[in-house]
Amino acid sequence: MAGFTADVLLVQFINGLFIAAGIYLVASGLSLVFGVLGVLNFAHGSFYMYGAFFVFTWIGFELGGFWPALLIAPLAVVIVGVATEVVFLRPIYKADPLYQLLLTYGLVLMFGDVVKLIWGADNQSVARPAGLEGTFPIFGALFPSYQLFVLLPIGISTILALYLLLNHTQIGNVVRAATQDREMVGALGVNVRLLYTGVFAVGAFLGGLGGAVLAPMGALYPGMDFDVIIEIFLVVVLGGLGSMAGTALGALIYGELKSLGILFVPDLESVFIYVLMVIVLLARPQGLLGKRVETSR
Amino acid sequence: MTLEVNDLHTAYGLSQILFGVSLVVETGECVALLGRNGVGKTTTLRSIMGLTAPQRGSVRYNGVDITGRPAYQVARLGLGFVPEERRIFPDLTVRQNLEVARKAPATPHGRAWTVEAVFETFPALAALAGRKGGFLSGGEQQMLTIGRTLMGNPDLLLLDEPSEGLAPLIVRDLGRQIGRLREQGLTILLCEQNAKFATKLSDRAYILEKGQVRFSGSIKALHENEDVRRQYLGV
Amino acid sequence: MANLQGSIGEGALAQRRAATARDPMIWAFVAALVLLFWVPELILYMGWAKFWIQFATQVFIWSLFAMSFNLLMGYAGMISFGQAAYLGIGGYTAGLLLKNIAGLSFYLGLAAAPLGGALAALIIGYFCVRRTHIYFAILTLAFGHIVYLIAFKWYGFTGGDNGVIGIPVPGWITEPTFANYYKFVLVISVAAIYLLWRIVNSPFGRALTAIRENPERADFIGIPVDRYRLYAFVLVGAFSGLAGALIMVNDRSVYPDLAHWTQSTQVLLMSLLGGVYTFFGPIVGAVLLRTMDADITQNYPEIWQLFLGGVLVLILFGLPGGIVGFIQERDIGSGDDHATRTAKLLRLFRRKSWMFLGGALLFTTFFSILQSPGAWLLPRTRVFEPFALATWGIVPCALLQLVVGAAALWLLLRRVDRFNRIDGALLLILPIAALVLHVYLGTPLSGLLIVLLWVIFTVYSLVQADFRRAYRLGRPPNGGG
Repeated sequence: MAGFTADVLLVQFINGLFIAAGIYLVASGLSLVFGVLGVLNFAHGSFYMYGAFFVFTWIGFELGGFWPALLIAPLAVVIVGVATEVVFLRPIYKADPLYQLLLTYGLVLMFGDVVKLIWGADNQSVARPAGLEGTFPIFGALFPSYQLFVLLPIGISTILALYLLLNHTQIGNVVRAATQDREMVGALGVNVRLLYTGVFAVGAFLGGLGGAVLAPMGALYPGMDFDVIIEIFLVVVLGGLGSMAGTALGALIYGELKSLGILFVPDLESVFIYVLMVIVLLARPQGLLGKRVETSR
Repeated sequence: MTLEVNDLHTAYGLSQILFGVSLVVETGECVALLGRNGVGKTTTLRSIMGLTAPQRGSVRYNGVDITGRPAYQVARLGLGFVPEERRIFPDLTVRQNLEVARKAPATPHGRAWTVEAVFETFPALAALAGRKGGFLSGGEQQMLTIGRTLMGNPDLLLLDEPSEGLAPLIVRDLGRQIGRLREQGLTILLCEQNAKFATKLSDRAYILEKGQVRFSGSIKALHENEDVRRQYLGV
Repeated sequence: MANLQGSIGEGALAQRRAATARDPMIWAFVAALVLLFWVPELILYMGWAKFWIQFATQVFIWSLFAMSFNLLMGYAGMISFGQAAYLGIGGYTAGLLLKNIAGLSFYLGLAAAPLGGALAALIIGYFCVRRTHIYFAILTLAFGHIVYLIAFKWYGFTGGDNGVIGIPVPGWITEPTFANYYKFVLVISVAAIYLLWRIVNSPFGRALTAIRENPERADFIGIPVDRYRLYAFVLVGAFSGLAGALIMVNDRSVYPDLAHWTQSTQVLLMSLLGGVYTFFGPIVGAVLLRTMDADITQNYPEIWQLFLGGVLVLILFGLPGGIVGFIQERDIGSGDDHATRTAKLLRLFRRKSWMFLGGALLFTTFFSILQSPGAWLLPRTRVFEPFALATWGIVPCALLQLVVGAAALWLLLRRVDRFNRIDGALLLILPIAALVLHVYLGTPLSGLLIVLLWVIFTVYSLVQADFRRAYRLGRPPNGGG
């Protein structure tokens, strides 16, 4: 166990960043929607899955290949997301959070089978874009080019973009105000319904973007929504529900643990994160950067 | 420009609060809505603002029927609501609190409100610009709430219990500032339990009791009518 | 719910003990046991398929699972999204013990299952119960997934996705009609359900409801909130483990699927469908869901989840109290005067009628999509004939249903003040049409269920005096609001 050189650790650390960037892309949308709308959206994993499958379909059209799909697939997911919000979520914003959770759970089931109906139950795959199939050397180690030049930059720019949007723009101020007092924001002349739909659309976009960016890195299959939702729940709970910075931190911890964990406990690396989550939740019930202490309501 | 409230009936769920409230506010006036705690003053304002939809009756503003419209539409027509519980955004700084509410005036204004203009009106806020709203004192929060609503450039200000819970000295300051707003041409509907404070600022008054208007008239008439004052205001 | 606080006082407690000591419900349970005991004989005597004996066995196991789950969800207000974990742990505990320890008594192996479930629930519950609501839901989901992953990946111990097969069970279980096993399960389920009945009616059960209603107040009046929640979680884990073992014996094998989240979904849905705030509701849910499962999974396995999700969404919007809950809804607005009450019932009836039409339409459309995929406007293989619905495309078929159904409902609901024979006939024709359609689509059982639901819902509404009065007296004043 002590035999690892600094090189190996560094390589795994960078690989951990890749995992973190990928999971952050997906988790950020869930976190944003929960933070503003107060709805923990089970169906967020479905948005991720749709993002990936839309890329697959788009490439089948042969209209410019992979790159345009990075924008078109998330936008298509936005349409699904907005329809979901308007039809299903709008009537229940005032309901018990658990009621909302159950409802979005029902949507997960439906979305999942729709994928099977449209794309079939078999695994599909998306090829990496031309020129990025190979690896790229850094410090003498080889890293997959796609992760290095697409995933990581998109992940980092998403963090920055969300940070700037939420903290340094008028709309960001309004969004944050709406998380604190929805009715008052309405009385100040803001159309909160529209704002919520907008935020949900951004959340769906992020989920779809995550699916689109991650599509060339693994198989696309009908159960991928559920696999990812558990992972992003872990990340978001770890970082603190409703805290965007917490989500980034949670994603980083998740990625590094998974990547470094392989070195130490090759078979049980996925259990690592659960153990950590349990420890964190015992010590800090609100998550690492969560502000609001959970109330019994 | 007028606000016309006609025969308003409003209930929260099954408990009815208002039983036919009617009142009028003319342009440039300051009208006081007086009454003890729980007689329906806040509910009246909420019904006007569209925060609680009335069951019956109508609210007209400048001849436009705004009954039951969503609050944001009412706000965009030029009504500004200053809530009783202040409801500033605790995690936003004072400056951000003000900026959130920035909105173009509904009718042409002489001068649109800016953050700096609010700081001029409430100098105490200027020094606190970078502080989170949650860390302000009660008086500071009250100024911020009013300032925030002003940022929306309203023509008509609905003020709910601005003096509540504040020290007498601060109340006097606040009164001066509201008086100044009035002089600048703002129309004001002022809800108050503190009749002394409200009558100093107002031209006319309505008195609510059990969800109905029991008195309406000029401040002078109210001062002369000791019965009404004793019965409904406890003075 | 309102009388809860009173019932927790010391004096009331003693009284309640005395009351439960001579609980008349025991006779209901005994009667159910005796009646249901002879179902296999009836099935064999009537010459029906033996499948129904196995089917009934499954219904009992799932009823047990769903009712214990509802102790958590309905009574304690803790929604676990990973309850299949304990089902799986029970199945694997008993299965692995029986398989690996030669000569172990079958009953001992079976008895180990609830212990295994309880132990797992104790460990997992320790971390989960302090968290409420959303956190609890996420944590149970995550832990449930770990259990599934362990069962799926640990080849050396659980056999991975090959499962544990060939588990030895006594000869009397495997006799060809399965009647013995039916009776065995029946006795265990009824006993366990009676135990659950006693638990929810004990001071402990009332304390759980108090916790659900208001944890802080429960804390103030001296209920150890976290500890009681943990007790409930462990208890339910034990019952779930038992159910898992019974399923294992039924199949004589265990696969990781038993712990899969789809099973958690089913049990959740059974509770919701039957009514979470009712004790016996989950039985109704279990019967309905097992029937639809037997019907739809056989014919259209690829849309089973879609169907479950659709049912879940429809229940949440249309029948938040579940079916049994809806029947008990007659108390709606009991404090109001007659006119208000009638208006409320009527509004409820109208809203739900539309919801019902929408739901039926949704599902029949899906079925027709599957029946002839791609045949959106016209069928692909058959020649269009105007009088044979089977030769219509999906969209025209759905439109026809929509138009006919909506027109019927509109006629029915618009004329509340003049409800007559024609309306009565319409009430009758609607479900029959739905049945015909389902028979044509090859899912007669689900068609029957829809009819049954429709009948329960309509007849029950119409039987109520307030409703009848509403229909005769006409539109109540201020009906629309």
